[in-house]
Amino acid sequence: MTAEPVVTAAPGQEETDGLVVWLQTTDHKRIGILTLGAAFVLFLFDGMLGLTMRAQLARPGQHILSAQQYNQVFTIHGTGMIGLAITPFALGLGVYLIPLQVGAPRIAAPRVTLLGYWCYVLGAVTLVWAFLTPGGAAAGWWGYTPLSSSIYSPGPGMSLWVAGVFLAASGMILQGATVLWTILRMRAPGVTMLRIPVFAWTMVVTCLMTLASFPSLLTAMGVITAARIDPGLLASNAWNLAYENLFWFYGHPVVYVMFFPFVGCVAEVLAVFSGRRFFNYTGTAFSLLAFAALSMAVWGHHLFISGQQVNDYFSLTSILLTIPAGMEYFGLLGTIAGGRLRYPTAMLFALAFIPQFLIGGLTGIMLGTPSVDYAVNNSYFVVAHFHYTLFAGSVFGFFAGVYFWWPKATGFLLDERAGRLHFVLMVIGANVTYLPMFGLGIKGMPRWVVTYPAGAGFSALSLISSIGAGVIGLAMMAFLYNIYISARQKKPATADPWGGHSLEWLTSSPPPRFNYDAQFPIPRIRSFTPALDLRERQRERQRVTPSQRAGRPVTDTVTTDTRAYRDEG
Amino acid sequence: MPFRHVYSGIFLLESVIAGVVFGLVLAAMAAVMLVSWRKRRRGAPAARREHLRLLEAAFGLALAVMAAFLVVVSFSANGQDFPRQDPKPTMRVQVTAFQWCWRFRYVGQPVTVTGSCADGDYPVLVLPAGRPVEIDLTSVDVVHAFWVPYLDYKMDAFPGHVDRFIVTLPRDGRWIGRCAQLCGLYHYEMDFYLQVVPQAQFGRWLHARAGTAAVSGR
Amino acid sequence: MTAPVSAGPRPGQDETQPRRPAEPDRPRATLRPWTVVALWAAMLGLLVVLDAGFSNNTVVLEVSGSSAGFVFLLAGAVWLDRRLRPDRGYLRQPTRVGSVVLFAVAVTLAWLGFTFGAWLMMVAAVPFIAAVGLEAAARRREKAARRDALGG
Repeated sequence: MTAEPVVTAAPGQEETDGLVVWLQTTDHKRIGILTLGAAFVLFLFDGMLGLTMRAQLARPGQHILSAQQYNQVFTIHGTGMIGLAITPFALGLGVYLIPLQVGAPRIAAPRVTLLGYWCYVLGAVTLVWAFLTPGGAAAGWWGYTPLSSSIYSPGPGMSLWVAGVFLAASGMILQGATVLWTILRMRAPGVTMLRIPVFAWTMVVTCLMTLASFPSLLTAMGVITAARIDPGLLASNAWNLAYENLFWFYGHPVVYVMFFPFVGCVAEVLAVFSGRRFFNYTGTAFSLLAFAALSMAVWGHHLFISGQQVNDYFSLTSILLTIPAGMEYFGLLGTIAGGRLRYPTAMLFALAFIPQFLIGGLTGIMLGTPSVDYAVNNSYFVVAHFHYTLFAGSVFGFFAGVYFWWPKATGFLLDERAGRLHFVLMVIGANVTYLPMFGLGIKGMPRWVVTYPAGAGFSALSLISSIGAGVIGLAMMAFLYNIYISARQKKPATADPWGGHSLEWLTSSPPPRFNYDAQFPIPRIRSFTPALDLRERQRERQRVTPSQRAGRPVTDTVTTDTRAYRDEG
Repeated sequence: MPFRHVYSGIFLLESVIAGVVFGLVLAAMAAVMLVSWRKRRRGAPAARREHLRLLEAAFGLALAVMAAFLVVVSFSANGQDFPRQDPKPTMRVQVTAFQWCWRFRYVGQPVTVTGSCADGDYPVLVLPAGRPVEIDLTSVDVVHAFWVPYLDYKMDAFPGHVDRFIVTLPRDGRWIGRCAQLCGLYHYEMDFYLQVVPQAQFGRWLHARAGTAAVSGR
Repeated sequence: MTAPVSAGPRPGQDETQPRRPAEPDRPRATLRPWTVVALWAAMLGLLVVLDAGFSNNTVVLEVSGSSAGFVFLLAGAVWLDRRLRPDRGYLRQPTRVGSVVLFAVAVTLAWLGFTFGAWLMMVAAVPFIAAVGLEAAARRREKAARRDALGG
């Protein structure tokens, strides 16, 4: 990599490949793939940690992991899944798709986006290092003070955890900023705010929440750092409570950052494979804004049991979430209603998302009632709740998006039969693992325990749950197998293998360097489904007889957004 | 204060509502897929409607009504759990959490119960039935949480701060208590027992423990 | 939303550029991007006010209030950007990334300084200065090249 001005090839020519070239990219598509790839590796790593936890808990009194090891494992499983896997899945999808979906030739501030990727990767390295340090970070993904101070978590592991969390979150803030700016300021002509795809609307609110809440996490890390330099700070309990509020001010919106893009994937997939436009588009867009705003005001429901806040307000806001959430479901169900459904793998994952996420959402409303929360908070009931929303919900939505956009990004199709196997194993695995955990919570099993007494009544459900975890492991292997055989078969994908609705289906698979060019131009935009509109117009024109066609001006083809561009050194 | 009673009522209500909603959504999906299958067989096209404004408005209204109902239920339950006028407690126990066990000090009496929580040495919190008892919760190191699953109640124990709640134990019995906030290495073993006895028996127990304390000079 | 201005081929451009449409299809009233952000900020603000009615926890109100305020500023930035930055008709595509990577490394080392000691923070100054230097040098070179292209 030199500092010489590089005059690259003429527009449309592909960059050369190779690892060194990839790591120097400013192409949002490659940055997106790098982000998603790193996140997937970390997802598998954290998943294996989860499997280890379930192996340890399958029977009472086991010693697969020591107490110290177990505490470190669940700390990195939580921090890793949230900060290093699912959040980067969310923002990585945005980095890849948004410029394509709004008709921009590049993302806003490509180098800031790349900086975001590097901060995230270096943060991930630091966090794995924290995990591998003996006696390392073991204060859970919450990192509550005083447990995370230097008195109760001595040694470098906890400090490395703080550094890693800060770096990874900073990276996500930067990517959130550039994705948002792209949607707000770089849409192609004709793409108004109410003509961006539903997925893009979910990215708008995701990025807004990221920018508004992630800085609070950075501040919280500052509090821990101060407490590790001077633990005497925590003599005043006000600091502990301040940490809890700062942490959860981030900690609740982040779960919506880990939800909205994937419900966006589900929305796109449901529309395309029902053969109809997404239902109640405008209502959904405004619902998303209300949903995201409310999600910034509910964090106190994590502090119901602190005894140091007015619980009524947070109960009110938490329960009010039902309204925009219900409107979202109205849009999803309205989209498939009356449709002609096709069932490729992407659609299977999208359909399964609907009831599975609902289980998580409904139990969330229950937890939003303090009287219920007092009983079941910090028990396995909560573990079940958030794994239903995050795994049986968001990860299913993520796979719907993966199967849907894979051909666009890579140029070849994923195998459908292996995809179905992956899907079936995921459904069985997710439900067998997490449904029993509701029962465990009601029976009184606490979180964060390396083992449990044999006579406590937790053994049967724990064993069932652990078997389910094994099935999830098989599901992941099926997915990896799918990638392997699909890469070998290399069944080529056309520009639009599914009959897609949004703009990205009008360019090649994979797209050219600057997304749209002379061969794949942006058509006239009249709605949020430009590809569908174009297909319908073409079909309409084919029905018109030649004599009728003569004299009628062709008004909609081959127009293009000319963003001339120049590479600078 | 009547946490258990309030909880079971609300949990049942909300579970039923959740079950009904879940069932309705599943039924809707099944209906949609059936209709779609029939459309394929007939060769009929997909529907084209993008909006049904009246239905959207009605649905939004229904959601708002449901949410309002749940908010009222939640506020009322919280009001029952923490009434404006708490019953005056007849005794106080100071519960101190520490890494990694519990200490129960009966305020006004020279009686303290503690243990190591290792190898089954779990301390027992003995309380009388039928009388309001105030629990003063605190910690000497990190944040813990006092949880008795039978009571359907838990509360955090912060260092440098006292959280109070009042509870009336309805009947005699012996139940497990657990720590419900990650507090370090032996969080998983930080159990205790809640033992509720008739008032007279409690008086005798307290007197005997106080006597022992006086004799041993503590 | 910006409308690109087409004014002939750009430096280094292929002559045969497809022409842009005469009139993009635009509905009568459009939802502006700054309106979306401002609307969201207003929702946040409303919720902060509602919270203030329930509790008087100043720390909490400060955190949520400043978050809402930040989003208002963001709305202002979007509005201002649209007014102040006319579309040049072309977008630059940057290619040099060395300074980016070096900056990320510098930030990481600085944070690791909290774990391993302040000396590491001083070590972080090295990649930081290198990043700044690389960037400044490249910009100077580019400005000179542009001057040459226009004047020479």
